[in-house]
Amino acid sequence: MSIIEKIKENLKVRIQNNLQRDYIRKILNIIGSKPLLLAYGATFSSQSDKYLNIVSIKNIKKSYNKKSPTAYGSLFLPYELFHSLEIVPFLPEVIAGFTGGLGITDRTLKEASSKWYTPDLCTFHRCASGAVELDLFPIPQFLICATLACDAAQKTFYIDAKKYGIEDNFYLVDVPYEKNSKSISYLAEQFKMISKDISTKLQKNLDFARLENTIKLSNEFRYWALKVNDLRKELSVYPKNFNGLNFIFPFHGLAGTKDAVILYKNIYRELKKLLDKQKNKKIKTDRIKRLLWLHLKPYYKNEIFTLLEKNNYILAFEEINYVYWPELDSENPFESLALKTLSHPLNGSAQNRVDMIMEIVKDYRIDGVVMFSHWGCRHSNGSGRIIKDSLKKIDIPTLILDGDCLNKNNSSSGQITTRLQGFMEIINSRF
Amino acid sequence: MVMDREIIPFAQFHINSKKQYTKKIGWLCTYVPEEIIIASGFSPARIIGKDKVKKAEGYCPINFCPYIKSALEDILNSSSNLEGIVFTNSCDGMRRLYDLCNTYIADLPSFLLDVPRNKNEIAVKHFENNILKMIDFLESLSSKTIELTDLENSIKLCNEKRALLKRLNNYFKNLQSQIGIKNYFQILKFAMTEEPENFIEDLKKYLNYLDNEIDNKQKSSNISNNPEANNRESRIMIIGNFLDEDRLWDVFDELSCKISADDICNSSRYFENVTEPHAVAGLLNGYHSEFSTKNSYADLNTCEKKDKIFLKLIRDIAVRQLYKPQCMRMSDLNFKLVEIKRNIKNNNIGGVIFISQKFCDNTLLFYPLFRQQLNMVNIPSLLLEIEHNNISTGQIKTRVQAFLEII
Repeated sequence: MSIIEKIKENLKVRIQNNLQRDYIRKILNIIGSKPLLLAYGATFSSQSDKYLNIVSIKNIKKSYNKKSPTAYGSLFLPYELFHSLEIVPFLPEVIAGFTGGLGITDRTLKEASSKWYTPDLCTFHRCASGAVELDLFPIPQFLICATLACDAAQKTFYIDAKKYGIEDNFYLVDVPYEKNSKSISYLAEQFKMISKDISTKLQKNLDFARLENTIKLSNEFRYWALKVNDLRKELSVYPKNFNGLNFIFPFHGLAGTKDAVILYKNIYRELKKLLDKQKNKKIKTDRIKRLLWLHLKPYYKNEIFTLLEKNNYILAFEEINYVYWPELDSENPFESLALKTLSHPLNGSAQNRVDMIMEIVKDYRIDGVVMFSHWGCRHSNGSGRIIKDSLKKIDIPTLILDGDCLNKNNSSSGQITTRLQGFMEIINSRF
Repeated sequence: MVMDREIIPFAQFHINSKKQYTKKIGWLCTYVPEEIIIASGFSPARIIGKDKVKKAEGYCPINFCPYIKSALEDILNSSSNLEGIVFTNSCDGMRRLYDLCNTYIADLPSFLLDVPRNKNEIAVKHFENNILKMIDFLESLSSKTIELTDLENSIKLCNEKRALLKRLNNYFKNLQSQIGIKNYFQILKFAMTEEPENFIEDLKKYLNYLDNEIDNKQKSSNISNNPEANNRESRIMIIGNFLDEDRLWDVFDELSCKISADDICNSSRYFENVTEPHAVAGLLNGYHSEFSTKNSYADLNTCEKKDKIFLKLIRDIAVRQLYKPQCMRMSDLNFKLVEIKRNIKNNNIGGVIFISQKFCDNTLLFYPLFRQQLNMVNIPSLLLEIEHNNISTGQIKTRVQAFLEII
């Protein structure tokens, strides 16, 4: 173990032994200070990982500091709204994933169970609720939740609002099922009402110039994210430890910020160099098999990706990195953000997701699809059969891998390995 | 203690409802307005998931709502009995059920009604638009245009059924030993699955009989006026989602408890509130909607007179549906808590039994908040997770008995 890894491990143990909001804030303030953050960033061999870690720590630190109001947000919201209102987003579901990395999910899940969250519910939400009950997450001033994709967040967010006595600052964005002109107007109206209400509560006027700038930055981020995705269509080698499934926070939570632009510009530069090398035949890629990964991954220590790498498999793409929305229009910001939200493939019919998967399979020359079937995710798992049958029609093997993204006790590593090996054998037999 | 009950069964009055004349449209969620189905010339029939899950298991993940699975089994087994199905986007499970039916039972026409989760003016208007789309869907199936009179008549019919069910519910609350818990829920099942006109006729006869019978019994044995007998029973409230389980209700019939209030998908959430109150004025007391004011129709002023009346009725339906006792899927959980607390106070409830289908996120995620709030007012609650069509009555009976001892 290197010195840096030892330091990281030490920090992890310290947090595990001092599970308090103030202690987490203290640690974030230390490692989030500019010199230490740069030094920390320098420990990563990959530029993509370096910037991912820097922007994540920087923004989580902001949400713990009390300089600007913090707002809890559910995953698929258009975060441009938050940034234009100068409220710091905190994504409990995503940070619940970080608690997996910190090794504290046993504690958060136990706390949730003691508060009557039954074990059949999604662990992302149970962990997040447990962390809120344990007073680990920052105190929010607002909570905004979208009905897109998942039933659970709106309930847990409301319970959080009740805990902090701010039910009036809880907003549920009712995302319509279909994408059409009427549903765009309905959703845009909700975004406008929420923005106005929050501005009033913050004793400010709605800042349209700032909203316009946020939209501009969001488009810039989208431009670089599309460029990254474009070159990944050909790329078969990745920097060490690069995992596209780690980018869910900046992809959503930082849309509309300079940080997202810088991060995706750097990912592009790093991957472009690798692609150039690959094209110059300096890297052999003929034996590499390309997978599409659906849903998320286990956030605790696991062997899945090492096993894939050892067998010459790469994640050629992940559905969470699919740029699903058209360029935003700063002239019609709310309508534009409504269109972005309604364009999400997880909204509406499962066919929307199937269409996205088919497009990715074709564009990224996918050899097989792995759908991680996270325990408790009715939305994703409920489409499993339809996705599998649709891919079967175009002769793409699919593995529905049962497990749990956060609770290692609800996931059998032996079974996962056996099933992955069997799946790889099927794909290998085709070459 | 087993109560000595003399139940007056509905079965002997259940004659008309056995005859089926009209083509059926299936529905699954109480947010589907039956008025529209009836106005289009169909009979609304709730898909209750009566079949044991076999084939459906292959289409759904293991940890999926057991009611949804049973409903899919019903549809797979008897889709030919239906002209179409109206789904709602009530929850993740229901959206996926719609996807599965659309994909694997493509011959059966289906429509998904988008029901908002918020209750405000823009949500009502959004819902109205979606109800108009539902009309398009049904008109295309029936090849018939819904006229104003069709809609007026269907609203009247639905309101009449709701009012009669409310009357039945009053009997159920006050004279439970004569109505019987299983019998009551069976009547509600018929209300949701059978032709409305026929069912209404049967229910009217049953209620008239009850009026006379109970009146006579009260005179002779003074049953309900015996305060000591009433006090012996534990007054409980049942809260949950879709609970169509004869064996579960048998357990309650056998125990010394009285369901004095309920908040479940196949009872009060189905029949409470009427559409356009003046249509059946006097049948329900105390129903007032914030949308039933003149100003709420101001945006319709530019429409032709006939269109205006039609659209006004659609708005009334939208308001009734969104403002009826709400499902846990809706946004404002505080409103739900207020509704429940009011029920507890008004009915002098000693404890609440919260029954949920397994894997129902909307209901199960309400329980932590609900329990915490009830603890604050010293009302005990019991959580029972059940599996539709597959319940363990022995275990449930033991748990309910223990709970009744506490309260």
